[in-house]
Amino acid sequence: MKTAKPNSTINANHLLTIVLFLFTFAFRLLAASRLNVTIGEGSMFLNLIKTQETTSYQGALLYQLLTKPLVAFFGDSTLVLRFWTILASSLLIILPLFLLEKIGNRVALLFSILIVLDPFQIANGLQAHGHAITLLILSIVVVLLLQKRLGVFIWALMGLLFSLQGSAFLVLILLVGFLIVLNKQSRETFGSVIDNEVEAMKKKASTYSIAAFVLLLILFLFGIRISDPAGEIISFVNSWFKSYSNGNSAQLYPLVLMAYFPLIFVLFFARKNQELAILHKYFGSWMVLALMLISLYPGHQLLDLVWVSYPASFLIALRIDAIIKTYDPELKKTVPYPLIMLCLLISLVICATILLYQTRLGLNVSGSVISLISLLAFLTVIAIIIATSESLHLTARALGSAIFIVLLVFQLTFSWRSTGLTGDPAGEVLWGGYFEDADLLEKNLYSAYSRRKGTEIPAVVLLKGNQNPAVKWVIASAFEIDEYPVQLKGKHYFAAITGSADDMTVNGTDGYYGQDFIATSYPLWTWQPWRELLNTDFWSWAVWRQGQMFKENDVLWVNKILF
Amino acid sequence: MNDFLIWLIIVEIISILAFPLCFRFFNLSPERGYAFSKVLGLLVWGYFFWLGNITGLLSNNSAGSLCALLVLALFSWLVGLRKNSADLLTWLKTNKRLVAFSELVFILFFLTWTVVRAANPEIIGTEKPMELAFINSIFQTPSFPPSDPWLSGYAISYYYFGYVLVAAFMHLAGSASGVAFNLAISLTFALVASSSSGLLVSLLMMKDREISDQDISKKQLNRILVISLLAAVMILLLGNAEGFLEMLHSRGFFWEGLAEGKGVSPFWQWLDIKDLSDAPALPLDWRPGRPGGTWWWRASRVLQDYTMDGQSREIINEFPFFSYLLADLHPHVLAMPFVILVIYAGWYFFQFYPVSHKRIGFRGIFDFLKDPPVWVLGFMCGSLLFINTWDFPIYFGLICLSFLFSILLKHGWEGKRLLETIMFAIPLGLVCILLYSPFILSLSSQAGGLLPSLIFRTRTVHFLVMFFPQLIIILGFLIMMFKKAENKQVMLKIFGTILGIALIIWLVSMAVIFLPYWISNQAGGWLARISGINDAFNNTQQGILGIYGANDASHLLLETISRTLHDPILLILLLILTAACIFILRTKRITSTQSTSSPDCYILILVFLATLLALFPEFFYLRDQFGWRMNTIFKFYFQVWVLYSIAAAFALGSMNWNVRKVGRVFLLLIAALGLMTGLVYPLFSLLDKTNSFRQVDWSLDGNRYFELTNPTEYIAIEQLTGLPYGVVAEAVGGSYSGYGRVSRMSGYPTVLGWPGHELQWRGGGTEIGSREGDVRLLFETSDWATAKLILDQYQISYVFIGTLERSTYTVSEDKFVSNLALVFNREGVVIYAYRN
Repeated sequence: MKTAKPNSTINANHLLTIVLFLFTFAFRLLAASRLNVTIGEGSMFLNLIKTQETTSYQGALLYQLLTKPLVAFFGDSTLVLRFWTILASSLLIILPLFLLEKIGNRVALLFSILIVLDPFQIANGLQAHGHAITLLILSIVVVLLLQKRLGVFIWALMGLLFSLQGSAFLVLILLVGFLIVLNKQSRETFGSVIDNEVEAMKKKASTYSIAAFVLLLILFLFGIRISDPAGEIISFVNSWFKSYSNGNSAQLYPLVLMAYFPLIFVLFFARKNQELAILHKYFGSWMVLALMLISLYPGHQLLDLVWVSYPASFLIALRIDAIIKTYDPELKKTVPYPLIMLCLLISLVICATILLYQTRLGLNVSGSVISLISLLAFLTVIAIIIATSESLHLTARALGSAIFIVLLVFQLTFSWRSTGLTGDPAGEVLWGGYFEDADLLEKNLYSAYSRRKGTEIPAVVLLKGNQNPAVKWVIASAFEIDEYPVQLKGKHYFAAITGSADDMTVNGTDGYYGQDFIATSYPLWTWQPWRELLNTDFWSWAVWRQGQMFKENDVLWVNKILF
Repeated sequence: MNDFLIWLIIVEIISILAFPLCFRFFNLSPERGYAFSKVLGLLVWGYFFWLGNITGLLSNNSAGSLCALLVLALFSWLVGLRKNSADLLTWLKTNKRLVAFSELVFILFFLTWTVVRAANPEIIGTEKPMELAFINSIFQTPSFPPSDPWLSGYAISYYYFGYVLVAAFMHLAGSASGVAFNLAISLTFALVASSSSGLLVSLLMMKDREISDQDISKKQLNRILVISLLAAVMILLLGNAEGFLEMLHSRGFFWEGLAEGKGVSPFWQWLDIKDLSDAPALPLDWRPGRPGGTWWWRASRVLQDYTMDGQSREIINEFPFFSYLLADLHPHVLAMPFVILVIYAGWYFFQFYPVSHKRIGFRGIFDFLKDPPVWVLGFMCGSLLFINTWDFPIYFGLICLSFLFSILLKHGWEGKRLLETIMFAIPLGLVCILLYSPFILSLSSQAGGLLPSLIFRTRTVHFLVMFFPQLIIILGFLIMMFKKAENKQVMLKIFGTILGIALIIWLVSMAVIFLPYWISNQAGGWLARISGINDAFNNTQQGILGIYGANDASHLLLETISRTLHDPILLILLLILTAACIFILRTKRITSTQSTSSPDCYILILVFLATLLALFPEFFYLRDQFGWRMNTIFKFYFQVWVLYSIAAAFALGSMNWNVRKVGRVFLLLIAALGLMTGLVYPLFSLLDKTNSFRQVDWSLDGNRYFELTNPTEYIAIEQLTGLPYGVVAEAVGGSYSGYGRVSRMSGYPTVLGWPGHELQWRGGGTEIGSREGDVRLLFETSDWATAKLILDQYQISYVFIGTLERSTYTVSEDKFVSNLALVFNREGVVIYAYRN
C-alpha cells in the first residue's frame, strides 16, 4: 500500500476531478435526454409508474425509494426516471479522491478519467435499469472499509443490499468472499463490529426508531415494497435455470468487452506497479471472476460488463501510472521511436481499413495489393528499427507506447459513440434492443389523437399480442392502453399497435390505415459473435458502427375516420 | 414427492431460524421449547408476511414470502442468537437425543399423513371448496386484506391467517394450490404431533426434576420421550367411542330378529344415535359399513338436540382424527398447533413467571405492559384471534386461569387474587388486540351474543361416547389424587358452592328469557303503555319459541325444567369434576423450595377449564346464523378433546411418580380399555376412506379430479389465471355444491359464490344485496345496456360460460359476442373479457 500522507487541502487534482464530474454530469444529462427508452427500462418504468403491479420488477428498492418522490414532484418523464443513475454514475468520478492517501494523486486522476471514458459506465449511467447506483454504493463500501470506518460501513452495506439487482448479486458473492478473507486477516472481526454497532444503536434507540419509522412511512406512502430485493434474489436464482436468449450468449461478452474497451489491452503489455501488487491481485481476480460469472450467467445483460470494466479501469490506471514512472528518465531519448511507431500504426490501420472497405464493396484487386504492400512495408520498417535501435527493449517500449496511443484514440471514439449523441444509437449493442422509431410513433399517435376531438372515439390505444415494453412505455406514458388479446373493433380505438399486419382481422384493417415502424433493432452479428469475427460485418460494425441490423417491425394503425 | 420434500425443507429452515427465539423465550425450561420452534417460526413468519402485506411493504409473492423469512432470521438473530449462540450450541450438543426425537416424530407423522392424503387427495365435498377458494384468493390477491373470492369488492370476513400461511408456502415452495391444500393438512397433523409430544416431555421432565432434584438420566429421558407419544396418540389418533359402537352395531350386537328382517333393539333405540337406531345390513361383519352412505361421518354427529315438536337439530361434535380424515382445511384444524403452543406458553408462564412484585391498579397494568413476556404471550395467544377466533377466549381464559392459580398457589388463596388477575388480563388482552388489530378491524363477526340454552341438554351417554377414552383415564387419575388428599370434607363444601353457582346461573339465564314474557304479558300494565317495547318483546318471544319449537313460554319453561331433571347425571358429573379439580388444587402449594406438584397443578387447570367448556353449552350457546348450539358444541368440544387428551396422556405418563403400584395397575387397565375403544374408529375409518390403500391412484394434487372430470373448464381456468387479475362472473348456486368453481380454482373473485356461506361470514345479507339476481340477469338478458350496467356495477372483467352457467341460466350469449372480447373458446366453454 502507498504510504499514507494526510492531505486535507484542495489541490489541482481535486479541482480537475470536480471539473471532470461537472462536465460528465452535464454531458450525461444531455445524452440521457436524447436517448430513446430501451426494452429493459420500458418494462421497469411500466411496472413502476403505470401498472404498479406488486409482483413485477419495479427496479431495485433504493432506486424506487429515490425515484418515486422525484416522480411525485417532477412527473414521470424519462429523464426524471434516469436522473439518479446519471447522478450516481457521475459521482463515481469523485470517489477516487477519497483514496488519494492509498493510491496516490496520479492513479486517482487516471482512474477518474477512465471512469469517464468507460463505455460501460456511460451506458450504465444513461439507462435507469443499469448498475450505476449499486456501483457507487459498492465503491463507498470499499472506501469505508479501507478507511476502517466500520460503523458507517455496515449501514452502507445495507444500502448496497437494497440497491442490488440481477447480476449484481454475483459481485456481492465476490464481495462477501473478499470480506471473509479480510475478516480473517483483521483483528477486529465483523461480528464484534456489529455487536458494537448494536450497542451503539441501543444508546440511540429513539433516534433509530424515529428514523426507521420515517423510512417505513416513506415506503408505505410511496407504495414501495421492501420485499423487492428478495424478489431480485429469486429472479437471480431462477435465471440460472434458463437458457441464453438469442443474441445474448456467453461468447458475446468477452468480445463486447474488448470491442468497447480497447484500453483493456494495456493490461496485457504494461508492467505492474509493484508497490500496489496486492491491489493488482484483488482487482485482477475480481475482473477475471466477474467476467466469467457474468458471461456464464444466463440472465445477463451487456450493461453487467461494468462489473468487469470498473476494476479493469482501476488496473489500467495503475499500469499507466507505472508506465509513466518508468518512462520519465529515458523520455528524451525515446521520443522519436514512439512517433515513428505511431505513424506506422496509423498507416497500418488505414491499410487494414482500405482492405476491409474494398473487400466489403468488392472493388478491384489493385487497391488490395497496395494495402498488402503497405503492410509488408510496415513490417520491414519495424525490422529496420529493431536492427538500428539501441536495444530490442527500447523498440518494444516504443511500439507499446504507440499502441497505447492508438488504443486511446480508439477508446475515445468508442466512448463518444456509446453516448449515442451522434451516429446510430441502435448500432450500439449496449442499449439492449433500442426502440429506434419512438419519436416517429409518438408523433403519429399525437397527430391521430389531436384529430380525435369531436368524435366519440375514446383515447385508447389497442396493443395486440406481446409488445416490446419500450413501445408500450412510450404509448402508456401518454395514452390509455387496452391489452386484451381481442379482435379489433374499429369503433373502440383511435389507434392500434400490432406485431404484424396479419394480427389485424380483415374487418379491422378496413377501418384503419397502417404504417410500419421499427420497434427494436440491434446488430445482427451478436447472434453468432465469434463466427462473425471472420466476417466483415463485425469489423464494419466495429469500425463504423455499420453492419447488418436485426429489425423488428410493428405496425401502427390509425382509425380511418380521423383522416 | 418433490413438493413434500420442499415443504419439509422449508419447515426445517423455519424451525432452525426460530429456535433461537424459543431458546430465549423459554430459557428456564429444560427442553427450551425446541418442539415448538416450528410452530413459533411459522407464526412469526406468517405474521411478518401478513403485516408486511397489510402495510404494503411486502409483495404477495415469493419475494414477499422470502423477505418475511429473512425478517424472521434477522429477528431471531437479534433477539435470540446474538448473545446466546454459545449457550444454544452447547444445549444442542447436550440434548441431541431430544432434538432427534422431536424431528423424528415430526417427519414420521408428516410422511404418514401425506401418504394418507395421497391416497384420497380430492378437494371435493363439505367445505373444502371454500377453503381452496380462500387459499387461491389470498395467493392471487394483489393487496391485503385479501379479496373475498365469493363476494367481489369485499375483503375476506373470516379468520384467515391459516390460509395466509398456506399461500405463503405456495409462494415459497412453488406448489400448486391442490398440492398445498393436502400438504397443509399433513403438516398441521405433524406439527400437532411433535408439539403435543414436546408439551408432555416438558411436563414430565419438570416432574422428574422436581422429584429427583438432579439432572435427568439418559434412561429416564428415553422413557419420557417414548411416553410423550401418548399425547400425540390421544389427541390425533384416537377416535370417540362411536366407532366401537359402529363395530358392535354392524356385528349385530344387541339386535333381535335380524334374520327375519325385523330387527329390534331397545339398546340402540335408547342410545339414540342416528343410523345406529336402524338395523344393520346383512351379512353381519365386524367391519363397519353403511350401504349408500359413509359410516364414519356419524362419529361427528353423535349428539342430538330435539325441539319440543320433535324435530332434530344437527349438532357437530368433531374430534381431531375425524377432522384430519375428512381433511377439511378448516380454521379449527389449522389452529391446532398454535393452540398447543399457547397451552405450552401457559404452562411455562404458570411455572416460571414471577408475579410477586406486580401491583393492583393502573400502575400494575403498566408494569405488565412493560414486561416483554406479556408481549410474547400476547403475540402467541392473540394469534388465535386470527387463526380461529373461537379459540381465543378459551385460551385467553387458560392463560388467565394459569395466572390466577399460579398466584393462588404461590401466595395463598385470597379474594384479592381475582383482582390481581383482572389487572393482568387487561394488559394481556390489550396486547392481543393491538398486535392483531388490522385483522380485527376488517372482520364483521357472525356472532350475535350469548343465548341461554333452555331445553337442549347433552345426554350423559352421548357425552361418554364422545369422551370415553380420555374421561375414564382422567377420572381414574383424579380418584388417585383425591385419595391422597387430606381434609376430604372440604370437597363437599366446594361442590356445594359450585352447585350453588351453577344453579344461580341457570336460574338467572332462565329469568333473562322468561321474565320479559311475564312482563310483556301483563296486558294493560305499565309496560304496554310504552310504545314499541311490547312489540319488541313479542318479536323476541316468537324468535325464541321458534328455535325450540314451542307454542308458548309456559310450556317451554316446563319442558326446560323437565329435561334438566330427566338426565342430570352429566351436569352433576361435570360439576363434581370441577369441584375435584379445585379441591385438589387447594391441597397443593408451590414454593421455591418445594414444588413437586406444579405439572400436576397445570394439568388440573387444563381439566378444570375443559370441564367448564363442556358445561358451558348446557347453559348457554353463541348465537349465530344457525340459531342453535351446533357450532358452540362443535368448537367447545373440540377444545375439550385437546385438553382432556393432554391431561389423560399426562395422567398415564406420570403414573410412576403419582400413583402407587395397585393404583398403577388400575389406571393401566382402564387406560387400555379407553385406548382400545378409541382406536377402533381410526382403524376402520382409515381403511374405509383410503379404500384400504388398494387400487389407489397416488397423487397429492387435490384439483386433479377436476382436471379429469372437467378437462375443458380446467384448461379455461388455467388460461384465465394467465390474464390480468379481475372479477369474474360465473353461475351462483348453493353451498356444498360445484358452484363457485372458477373463483375457487383461479383465486379471482366472483360476484357471488356460495350465498349461504357469505351470510354466515358476514352475519347478514346486506353486502350480498341483489347480487344473485343480478348475475342471473347478466347471463339471461339479451339487452347489452342492462348487461353493461351489471358489468360496470360489479367491475366485472371476465364472463365465464361453462356447463354450470348453461344449465343454471338460459344464457343469452349474443350480447357478449357482439360487445366483449373473446379470450377463450373451446368445446362450449367460453371466457369473455370486458374492459370496464
